[in-house]
Order: sequence, then C-alpha cells, then structure tokens
Amino acid sequence: MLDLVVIGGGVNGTGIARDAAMRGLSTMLVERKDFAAGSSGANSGMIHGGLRYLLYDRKVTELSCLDSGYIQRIAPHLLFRIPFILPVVPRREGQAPGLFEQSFLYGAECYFEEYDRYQPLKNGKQHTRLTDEEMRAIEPGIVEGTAGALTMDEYGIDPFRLCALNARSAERHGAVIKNHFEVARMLRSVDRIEGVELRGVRGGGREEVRARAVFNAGGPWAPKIAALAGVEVKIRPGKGVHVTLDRRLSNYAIVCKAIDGRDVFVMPHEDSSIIGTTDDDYYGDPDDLSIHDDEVKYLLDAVARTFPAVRQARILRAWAGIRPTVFDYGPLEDRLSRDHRIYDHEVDGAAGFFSIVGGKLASFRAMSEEAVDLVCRKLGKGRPCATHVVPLPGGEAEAPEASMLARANDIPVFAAARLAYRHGGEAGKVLALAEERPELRAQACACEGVLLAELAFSLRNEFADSLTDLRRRCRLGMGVCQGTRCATPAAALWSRERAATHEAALGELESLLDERWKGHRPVLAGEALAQAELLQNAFFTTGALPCR
Amino acid sequence: MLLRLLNAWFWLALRALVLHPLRLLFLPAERKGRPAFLAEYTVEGLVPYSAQERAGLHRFGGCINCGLCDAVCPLVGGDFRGPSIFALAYSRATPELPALRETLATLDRCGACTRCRDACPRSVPLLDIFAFTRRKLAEVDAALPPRRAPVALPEHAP
Amino acid sequence: MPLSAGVAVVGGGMAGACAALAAREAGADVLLIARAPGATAVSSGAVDMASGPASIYENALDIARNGHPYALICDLRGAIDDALSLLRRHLPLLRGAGDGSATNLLLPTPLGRIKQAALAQESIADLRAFPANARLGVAALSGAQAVEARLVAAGLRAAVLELDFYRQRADAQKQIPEMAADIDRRRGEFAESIRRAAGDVTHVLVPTVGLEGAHAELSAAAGRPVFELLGAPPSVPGLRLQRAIDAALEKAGVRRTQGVAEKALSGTLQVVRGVECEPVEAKAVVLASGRFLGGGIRCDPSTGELSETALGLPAWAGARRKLAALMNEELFAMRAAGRHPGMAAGLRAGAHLRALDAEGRPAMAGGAPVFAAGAALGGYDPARGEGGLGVAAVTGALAGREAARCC
Repeated sequence: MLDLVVIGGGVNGTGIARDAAMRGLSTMLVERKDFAAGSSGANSGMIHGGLRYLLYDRKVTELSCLDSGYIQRIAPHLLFRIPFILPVVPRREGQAPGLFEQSFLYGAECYFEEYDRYQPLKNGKQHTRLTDEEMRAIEPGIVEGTAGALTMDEYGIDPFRLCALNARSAERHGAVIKNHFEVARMLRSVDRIEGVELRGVRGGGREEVRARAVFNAGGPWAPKIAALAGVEVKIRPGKGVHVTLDRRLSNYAIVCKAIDGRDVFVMPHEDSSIIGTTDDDYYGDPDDLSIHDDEVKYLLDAVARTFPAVRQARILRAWAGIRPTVFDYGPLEDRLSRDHRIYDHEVDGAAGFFSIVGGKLASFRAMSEEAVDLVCRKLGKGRPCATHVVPLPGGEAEAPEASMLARANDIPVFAAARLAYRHGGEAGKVLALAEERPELRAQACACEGVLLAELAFSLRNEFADSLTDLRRRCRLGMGVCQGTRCATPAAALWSRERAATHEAALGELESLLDERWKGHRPVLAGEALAQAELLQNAFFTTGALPCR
Repeated sequence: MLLRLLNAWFWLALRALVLHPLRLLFLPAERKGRPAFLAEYTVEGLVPYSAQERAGLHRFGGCINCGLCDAVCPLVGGDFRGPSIFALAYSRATPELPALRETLATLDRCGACTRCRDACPRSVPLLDIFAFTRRKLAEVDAALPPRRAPVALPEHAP
Repeated sequence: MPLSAGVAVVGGGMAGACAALAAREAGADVLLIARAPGATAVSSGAVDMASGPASIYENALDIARNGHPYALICDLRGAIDDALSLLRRHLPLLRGAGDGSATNLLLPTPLGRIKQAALAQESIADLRAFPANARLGVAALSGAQAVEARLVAAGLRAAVLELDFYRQRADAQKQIPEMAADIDRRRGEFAESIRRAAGDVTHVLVPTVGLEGAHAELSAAAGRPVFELLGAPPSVPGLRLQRAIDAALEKAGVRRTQGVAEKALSGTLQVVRGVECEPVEAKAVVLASGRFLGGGIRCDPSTGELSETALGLPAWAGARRKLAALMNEELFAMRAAGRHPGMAAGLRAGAHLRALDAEGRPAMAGGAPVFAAGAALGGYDPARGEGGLGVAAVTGALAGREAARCC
C-alpha cells in the first residue's frame, strides 16, 4: 500500500510527487498524456515574482520572489533572464502623452521601486525609468510618442524540462512514475478513496494501486478526475493562445496593450520570441483545442500597435492551452492568496482524496509544499520539505562550457550549447551514450541543436515514449523548420530504441507531423507556406509517407 | 487580511510621497535610465538590436532548411557543415553567441563567393546574416565581464 | 538596352526548362529569367506524371479533372509523349520503364516505402527491374544516415550494410550532400567498402552514388549493382537534376539572365537585380516560376490573398482567392497527410495553357500573350500523387511550343 498517488503530470503534479518522495512517502505519479502536455506546457514559460500582489499582500510577493530564487538554485541551467519594457502609451492613439500618462508613469515607477526590494531574493535587477528617446535608443522598434517606459526583469524557463526533471527527481527518491497511464476509476469504500485503477494508454494493461492518499492535480481535467471519486471540483477554464516567432525579435520583452485593454507580451523565449496571450472562457473539450485566425490576429494586432516590426516577423506556429483558474474568488484566506485552492475531500465524503486547483507555474514549488504538508499531516509521517535546496537533475553541477564540450566530443558547438542549457551538469551523461554508439553523436535537428544521443537519453531515462514526448523534452521539431529535417532521423532512432516495427516507426513520425501541422495550420497564410511546401515535399511528394 | 491590504497600501504611499522623490534627487545619473539598463543586461548577452538591424531581421527568417546552401559551400568539411546554421540557429538569439565563437571564426575564411546566397530558393541574405552575427558577437563580447573575456584560440585546422 | 526575346520564360526548374527547350526546338529565340533554384532542386529524383497502377497515360487521364492542369490539355497522350521525348533528348539522366510499357517505376523512398513515378534518374533503383531472387542491402555510412538506413532496410526487407568508408568520430555530423562530394572524390574507396561489407547481398542501395551520378562505375567496382534511394531535402538527385537542366539549357542555346521577374509600369516584364531594372521585350511569356517554394505564387500575410509574383495575376486555391485555416477543412486538412487544396494554389489557365487574368480572360504582358506551366499552375498538389515534376514537364513542353507559335 503506497502512501500517495498523484494524478497529473503538470508542474503541480510532478512538484507534489517530488516533494512527497523526498520526504520519504512512497509515491506514485500517474500521467495520461505526457508531462506538461496540458496547461504546464501551454503557458508563457515564465517564472515571475508576483508583482501584482504588492497591491494586496506584500508577503505573497516576498514569498514568490523567494521561491523564484529557490527555483534558480535547484535548476540554474534552465532559467534565462527576460528584461521587460513597459512603454506608457497615450490613452488615446494619436494624442500626445499628457498629465494622465505622466501620473501613471510616476505611480508605476513607485510600484516597481517597491518591487525592487524583493528583486535581490531572485537575483533580479533593479528597475529603470526611461524617457521616450532613451527607450527607443534601447529598443528602436517601439512606436514614438510614448510618455517613456519602465523596465524590470523576470525569468523564463522551459516548462517541459521542469516537469520532466521534477518527475526524474521524484523517481530518484523512490517514486514510481507511470507516464501514459490514465485513471480508469477510483477504488473506494464507503467514505474513503483507497486507491486507483490504472489503464495504460500506450499499452501497459490495467493495474490496481492502493494508497492512503490520492492527490488530484489534473489541471483542466481536475473536475473530471474528481468526478471519478464522486466529488465536485469546479474550475473556470480559460483558453489562452500564443504564437511563436522564428527568432528573437528583441532581447527584451515588450508589454503591449490589446484593443480591449489587456496586456499582451512579445517576449524572448529560448531562441525565439513568443507572443501571448488571449483569455477566453472555454466550454469545450480540453483535449480538443483549436485555434481561430481571429485569435492569432488579436495577438498580432495587440503587439503591432506598440511594436510594428512584428508584422514582418515570421510566425512559426500558434498553440493553445487551458488556464484552470479557481472557480470562485472568495476572501483572501491562505497565505498564498486567491490564485489556488487545495481541497481535502474528507468533508465531501471522500477521505484520502485531495485536489489542487489553479496556481501559476512560478509558484509550483511552494504550492506543492503546501499540498504535501497537508498530506503528511493526514498521514502522520514525512521528513521536512527540502525541494528548495536539493537541486533537480542537471542542477547539481555547472554545465560544461559549450565549445570545450563540442571539441571534446566532436559535436557541433551549437548543439553543445543547447545541450548545456537543457541538461546542465548532466550534459556529460547524455554524451556518454555516444561512446557506445558513435552515430548518436549526430544531430537530429540543426535548428535547436538536438543530438540523437539526447533523444536516446530521454527515451531511456526521462519517461519519454513517443516522438511527441521527445519534442517536449528535447525541442525536437520546435525550431525553424518544424520537423522538416529532424522527424526522419528521430523516427529512425526511436525505432531502434524501442525495437519497433517499420510500420510503428512511420506511425510515430506521422503523429509528430500531425502534431506540428496542428500548430502550422492557423498561421499558414503568408510566408509559412514555403516551409509547408518543403515539409510536404520531404514526406509526401517523395512518397516516404502515405497520403490520407 | 484587511491588515495586509493596509500594510501594502501604506508602503506604496510611503514610496510615492517620500522614498521615490528622495531617490530621484540623490541617485546618480549612471544608475538611472538607459545607462543603468544597458549596464545590467548586456553583461548577460542581452544586447539591443539597432534600427537597421531590426529592419533587416525579418529577411533573415526566410530559411526553410532545404540544405542547398550547405551543398554548394566550398568551406564545408572538418568542423563546418555549411552556412545554413547561421540562418537556422546562430542569428536567432544573442546570449549564446560567445559559445559559437570558433565557428564564427570560420567566416574569416569565407571569400564571399556568394554561391550560398545564389543557391537559396528563398533569397535569404546569407552574407548579411554573417555580418549581423559577427557584429552581435562583438557587442556581446564587449559587454561581457572581464573574467569571461575570450581566451586565445588554438590554431584552427580546416 | 532592353532584353529582347521571342519567348521569355520565367523560372529555371523543370517546367521552365521544358518550356525553354520546346520553344528552342520550335525555332524561337528564348530568354530564361531565373532568380534562384526552386522545388526542382530539392526534388527526390523521381519524375511523377500521375501515380496509379495502370500505364502513365491512363493514370494521367484518370486525374485530368477537377481543376487539374491535365484537364486543360486536349490531346493529353500526345502531350505526354512530347514531353517524354523532349526529356529523352535533353535530359538523358532520366529514364522510364524502358520496356515500352509506360508503367510507373517502383522507387525506394528515404523511409523504406515505395514510390511510383513515370521516370527516375538512372542512378535510382527501379525495384521493378530487380530479379525476384535479389538480396537487397541498404548501406549505412555514418551518423543520422546510418540510423535511417536501418529504418529503410526494415521497410524494404533488406539487410543493413555497415560500411567502413567513414572512420572518424566527427564524420557522424555529415549530411548526404557532403557524403556525395566525398564519394565523388574517393569513388574507388567507396566501392571497396561496399564490396567488403556486401557479403551475399546482390543489390546495394546507397544514400547517394555521388553528385556526378556515377552509379555504373560504382557498380562495376563493387562487383554488384549499386543504386541510390530517392532523396529527401537536401536531395542530391535534386541538385543533380538542376545541374543537368542548366547544362541542357546552355547546350540548346537558351539565353539566361539572373534576377527577379517583375511587372514594369508599362505592363511588360522586367528583370530586377537589387536596384537594377532591365525591361524585357518578348513576343510571348511563359510563367514557370513555381509555387511557394519557388516564389512564383505568394500569399499576402495580412490579407491572405493569393497572387502570382511576376505579373501580379490572381491565384486561386480551389474556388478561393484568400487562404485561411478555416474551421472546416476546405483549404487545409487537419492531418499533415491529408488533402490540402490550399497547397495546390496557383494560376488559372485556359486553352493552350494561356494564363487567365482577374476577369478570367487570357492574360497579356504588354502585347505578349502569357502562358503558364508547372507549379505556378494551380490545381495539383505534387504531395498527393497528382503528378509533380511530370506535370511540370508536360505543361512546360506544351506551353513552350504554344509560346513559340506567337513568334
């Protein structure tokens, strides 16, 4: 009988599993689709410090910045700094900035100055205030006629790697990780949940798992999972669409105002820029999100008003996710504020069943700690939390210097640099695979510097099972060519690692292409068509894959 | 909770009425505005893009990874696989450029034969991309803190 | 001094080449305007006229409807024969079934499936022509290619031949075009490494026989037939074909100029090179500038409107002039492998392959009639087995002949 089963492999689920395992609870993590395949993989990928809570509860801001600092400590290789520029544009377009804008600038600067107090907790820099000319000297792409701008910085992170590393860390501390398994039903007695029945999604059969506690961290699927336990959990799903550009349009994030007054960012993220996001109540199936041309246009229009150069940028793809926001906003109760809720369903007649709802990527560690505190209290066991001090895999040692790594291993320098980003101190472990099989030294993808060895490492050690899993872990197909060149060697590598049939390998390849195509479709009209034509050429005109 | 709210507003008011004006008065110029911004961020490779660079950036984005330029480049061999990597990877972001210094050094051997640019179906201005990448590396290098200054490279064998 | 010609051909790929060569054969003075390589230079080595189990002619007649360019051709069989003989005369590296049957060849693809096509470069294996008791081997050289070779072998039910042609660790980074250059330089060594690894394999499939296409020499030296697989981008056969086309054009006396073909204020063509502008005086124009890859058709990013890029003629995807990812799958299917009418965008044409303008009338460039050939013509998607380079050749040859009549 296990202590804890965690359902959901997003940042909360993997975070809870890691914390619980590290505290000595026998833990199992169950994920249906793949880690970060849901909300955790469809957000802006930012670790920020709770800027807006300065207005309600400074303690929250302090703790958020502290936690940002912790995440830096445990996974230093994954974080990259994103400076933000907030231009203050006139309320009405075409007008010169007046008293209103100057007052706003004054007030906003005071606000940022307060935030400066907490920036050191996360190694953040102090704010600056720029005049209109200074701002354009730094970022000439911003429109003229602003009242000036404010700057500060936050961090970006690869959320897929974060979740995978949480899971790996959990496993290192004894947890059992079941990726590609879904919960078919809950095992229950009269007023208790006693475990789960699992069903493999990609083979793997059925099994019953008994546990003292079951934690529902299903994000947009939390209500559905709770229903299996006979319990109601309400969320207010919000759909958010982002768009990825082919390169960094700027090294600084620019905050733009959309037509409806919402903030839309164009921000650098790894080797691209992303634009996001929309926010619409969503009533459909979280497994079947589609993107409308309108949503893409909304984002581009929002940014173009402040940063017109975006109109000429190449758009690689559009992607969507669900924000599983808490359903009702009640009075501020707990120390982490109204953004999330942790439920103990004993009061609902399902003792041993818990749910976590809402939250932000940035506060996952603290929320997981809170969640596991509750479980430990109920189970009467568990060591103190150490998730803020023990590094995630790859964070224990500094990443090796890229050009040295490249020379020592005969791999391209860019691939070495990206390997150092994605795997930090474990880069050497990944390359060790190429010692047994020299061909693994080759690149699958030049755009993102993905080596075959990295794909093999992920398949063997990071619970990846499909090519789509690999695109999350290793950025396969996420670069400029979106899979045109890398899908084939990746499928061949997968086939060998899984000792799969030819048919199965081609099926995997098709699945990856389908997944990529879903992201191209909303943004094809324009320059993207040339890439699409080459992609269709490479796989279908050649006859390599069948038409359907 | 009301207490926390009041606390929050108190500090913001103090900032607005007292601390911020004091700061404005006594903070030296180089710790404000543009000099402060650049000092903080360029050390991490987060350099600005100039207006001319921005104007040309979108043309760099035409590459579809067809490999034709790599197939015709006379410098391919040894560690160098061809010029497409500049369009596909090197020119996309600046923070990693110092790691790519040696490959950028290959450009020193580029005689601008223009075979790559002429072979490109998308008319990607490869020679402009080379120049851009070199320029950005120089900027990032200039901004790096002294202890991470470039180390002398060994003789680069073709 | 304006450039003058009898026939001005825009585009230097398969369609443009066939148009230029056919016009030359008809006695016209031909000027070819080419900006850069296009889809032909990344083609696989196959020349697909129309997939299908029957003969080339029957397959073609089968698909000659629903807006396919073949539907515009009265004597399709004759046009196919003309194209085939034109190719035979000028591009001998291409070969067909050879036994007069006009059936499709069976060609091995980069993933181990089989592709049908009317013609293929002679260095590419025609599995139809292999004896029934052939023992196939797929060569693995290094790096990603070696990993892929196993997948191809699995698909073709062939053995994997691990060659020792590459011995350095760093060689794992080589892509196939670089391997082709190495093979051309060290052909004897390559053949030897095949011989050493072959064992009882009777027919060897290599990723490339070298850019020079010397499969006969390799086979002789290796002691058994050595052929290429079809190429995915970056494709050596594609490069080889483009070079053969360039050589054939020069040999036939087709004048060439490099630059972007655009519409001058007067409505005629002009060639733009940077800031230079050279007007073109021609008696007939053939637009063979390709689709999105080749740059002949573009979709405006802000309006979604399709148009042809040299003369600004309207382009269509099915019944639509604007592309968008509609909720239904009218223009783009949900699956990558599905049917995408949006990818078959191009010019509309009428009888004799005359391009049509916005009013649906035969288009003119100044006083010159405008013809269209190849992927610049809408209505067919090479990725859907509706013919690829084959359509380019058939329509190119026909358009060239028609254009020459105007001189």
